[in-house]
Amino acid sequence: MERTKIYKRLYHDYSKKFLDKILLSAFFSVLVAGSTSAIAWLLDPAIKKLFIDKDQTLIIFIPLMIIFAFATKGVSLYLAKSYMISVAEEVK
Amino acid sequence: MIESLIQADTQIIDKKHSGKFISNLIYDVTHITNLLSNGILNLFKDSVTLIGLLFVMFFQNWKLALISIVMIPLASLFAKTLGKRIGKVTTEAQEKSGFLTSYLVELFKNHKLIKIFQKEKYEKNRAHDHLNELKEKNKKIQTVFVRMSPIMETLTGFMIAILIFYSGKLMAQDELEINNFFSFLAAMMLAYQPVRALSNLNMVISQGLSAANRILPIVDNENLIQDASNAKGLLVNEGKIIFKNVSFYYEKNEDEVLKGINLEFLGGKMTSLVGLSGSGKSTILNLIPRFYDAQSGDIKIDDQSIYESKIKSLRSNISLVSQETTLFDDTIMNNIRYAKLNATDEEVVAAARLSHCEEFINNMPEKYETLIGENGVRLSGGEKQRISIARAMMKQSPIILLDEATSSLDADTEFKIQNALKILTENKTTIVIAHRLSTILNSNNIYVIDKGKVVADGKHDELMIKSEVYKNFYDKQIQK
Repeated sequence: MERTKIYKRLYHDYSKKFLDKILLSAFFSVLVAGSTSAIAWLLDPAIKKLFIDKDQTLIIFIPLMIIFAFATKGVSLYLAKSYMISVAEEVK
Repeated sequence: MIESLIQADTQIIDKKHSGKFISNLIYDVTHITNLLSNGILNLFKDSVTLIGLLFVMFFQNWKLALISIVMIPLASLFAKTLGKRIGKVTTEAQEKSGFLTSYLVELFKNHKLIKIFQKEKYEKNRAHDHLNELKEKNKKIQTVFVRMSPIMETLTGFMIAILIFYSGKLMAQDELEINNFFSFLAAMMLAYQPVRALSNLNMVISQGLSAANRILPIVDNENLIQDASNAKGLLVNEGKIIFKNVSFYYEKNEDEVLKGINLEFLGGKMTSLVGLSGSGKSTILNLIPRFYDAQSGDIKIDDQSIYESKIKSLRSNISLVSQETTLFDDTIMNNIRYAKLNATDEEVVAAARLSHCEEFINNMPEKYETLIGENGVRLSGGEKQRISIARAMMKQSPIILLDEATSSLDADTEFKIQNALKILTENKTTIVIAHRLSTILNSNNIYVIDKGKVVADGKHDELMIKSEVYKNFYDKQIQK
């Protein structure tokens, strides 16, 4: 059987009915990507303001945002994986 | 594990469904190999990496390093809790996997039965139930594994946040240089990867250990049936077998199947065992090759106790032709040769000819190289029986244990099988669980077994007069 035919068959027979869960998992994956990028993005003001300019005004805010970004990444990763695990087990 | 199962006592194999052993072999062994291959490698790699990075962190700033390593005991605590959970769920999942495998074995074995009773829907529902139970457990295992992600990510976030906060304070007081901070930050972020990996590893270890907990008792199981310390090789001349006060039960809490039984099977002669189902006839046959050991009494072959003889030498002198023919999914040639692996093709052909197999083998497309399918599914009942007789002939053993098939065959096939059996048992000590008149009439002696005891013995004509049990059995059970 051709590869494209196998993909189509797998999609129609096994994956299509779980499209809502797959889309939710994709949404949380986007959150994982966003929060990971946010961590890198937050290091910019942390270094410039706190370490170079030695400005203490953001010394609470930036660490809190970092905790938030990491927590969002962790929870999103958990939800994205959980939805896909449930899809994978249902397909069996 | 396979080796342990091959060598295991019949009693151990009988106690558990074959599907559960298959599940142990597939499910548990995978977890153990995962623990031994990936587990050990990652444990070494990640531990060494973590130690190196901790060294860099302490070298750059010991105060920051102390704050950062708070995460390690916290992560270990969560990993330990989840590890316990994963061990428990893995055990439950293995149990469900065992049930499913056992069910599937029966499903394939009984597929004709399902069709004739039209129980397809019923079986579909049962299959769904088994599958759903296993799916739920698998889901739990995987969910416990991913549960570590939010915990570890949040912990990492906290530690980086504290690091930035504290470093900002130190830098404002000129107690920390930016180059030290970057080196420290790089080391800390790199160190979290091995910490995460080690936390997951704890769960892999828990899975592997719970699997090992199930497999090791099977591997370590010491066989109860083994050679005595003073065991000698059995020398069979005449082939006379004597049962002296033999008692046997399968389970301690069950009734005795044989109750102090005394039997004598003359060498080179045929002796029949007759009696109702459950009277103990098959048990008598099973005790001779020591598939089971009697709890009391003795069995002697040519005045040598089988319990003081080497099992290998005992079994090499015995052939078993059972009622349910067991063949391997292999060629006819290899099935016959199974009794003597170094036999030449000519020897196999000779045995096949004597057992009247040659005629149907020659009609097959690949002749002796024809694959017969699972348990000889491509052969008729009579053909399977003849192949098993040919296999027994190959062994050329002086003692033959024969459990005669109860099912009737057409006259021609019946004649050929009787003829093959005649050649097989000629001048051999033959003990036969008899269902056919011809076998009974050819027997030198007949033992009538009832409820684990010998109630009469003698020849057919004598027993018809003196034994009511035999007469009753003859009238109802014997194929004339």
